[in-house]
Amino acid sequence: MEAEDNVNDELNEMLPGFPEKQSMQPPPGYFEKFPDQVLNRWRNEESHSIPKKISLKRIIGAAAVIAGLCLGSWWYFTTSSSDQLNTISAVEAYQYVHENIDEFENLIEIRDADLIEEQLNLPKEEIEEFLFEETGGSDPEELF
Amino acid sequence: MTDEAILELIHHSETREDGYRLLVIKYQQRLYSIVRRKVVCHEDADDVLQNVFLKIFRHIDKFEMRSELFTWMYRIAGNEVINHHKQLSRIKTVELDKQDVKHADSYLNTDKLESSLESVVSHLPERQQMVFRMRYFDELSYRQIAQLLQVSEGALKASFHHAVKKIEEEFRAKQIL
Repeated sequence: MEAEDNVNDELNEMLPGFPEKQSMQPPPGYFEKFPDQVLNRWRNEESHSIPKKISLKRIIGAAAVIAGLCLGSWWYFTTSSSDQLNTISAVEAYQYVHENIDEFENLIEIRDADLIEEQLNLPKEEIEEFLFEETGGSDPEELF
Repeated sequence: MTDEAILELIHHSETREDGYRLLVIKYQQRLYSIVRRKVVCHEDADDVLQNVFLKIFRHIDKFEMRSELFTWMYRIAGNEVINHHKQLSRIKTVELDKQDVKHADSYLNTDKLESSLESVVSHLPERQQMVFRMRYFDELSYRQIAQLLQVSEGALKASFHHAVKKIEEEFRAKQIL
């Protein structure tokens, strides 16, 4: 610090008699040994330093990649079985149904019953409209 | 040796350690004095001061000379003192080791005047207290304080003078002066 910057000098000018600051002294010889102490610690640190700092970000990133791979693998293997159905041709599907028609009979009956019930609830105008379209514009009463 | 010359040594690998040594020799006493006032005993001050210099060595390549070198080091010292106190509060030390107190008595030159001064200073308005501590106890220049607090040197001088005036009034009232 420059002489004119000395706080004790400044205080003496402002306030003569102001007590000079007491400095806090360490044990004798402390400052002679201190540079070697701190440099030895520094050398130790340098020799034991880890080449690449493993940060939390890297750990989270690695975990995300592994999780993504696991999820992707699980998705691939679970969807591949359902994808197999998409490879079956319509012919193969028809053949299967035909050969195993007994298994489908109940299903057909139920569906037909539902259909009939739905038809019974249809209003007359809708039935006539349907017949008009199906017969190409003929009067439905003429058909029956 | 100037700060620029020391930094020049540090920035070259073959002279780096010489630069570090010169840096320590130049600033160890000032930094010790600052740290010592803020901790209980010499052993704590030694520990903190070593950590301060190690941190300086680790980060000095990033120092861009936007402030004085000592101002930057002073900031690091302040942070290390705070870290030290945080560590102590985590350990939850309730009682001081009596041996530490004895050591503190040996090396700390406290007397009635200094303790009166501390008492008066602690009652100053916050800004005046901060400026007074940095100027009087830490012996920073007005330029350095301005860099740290981002305040003009003129305003700092005014704060310091007001603080000294108040201390004088208190001392006269207590017949210390």
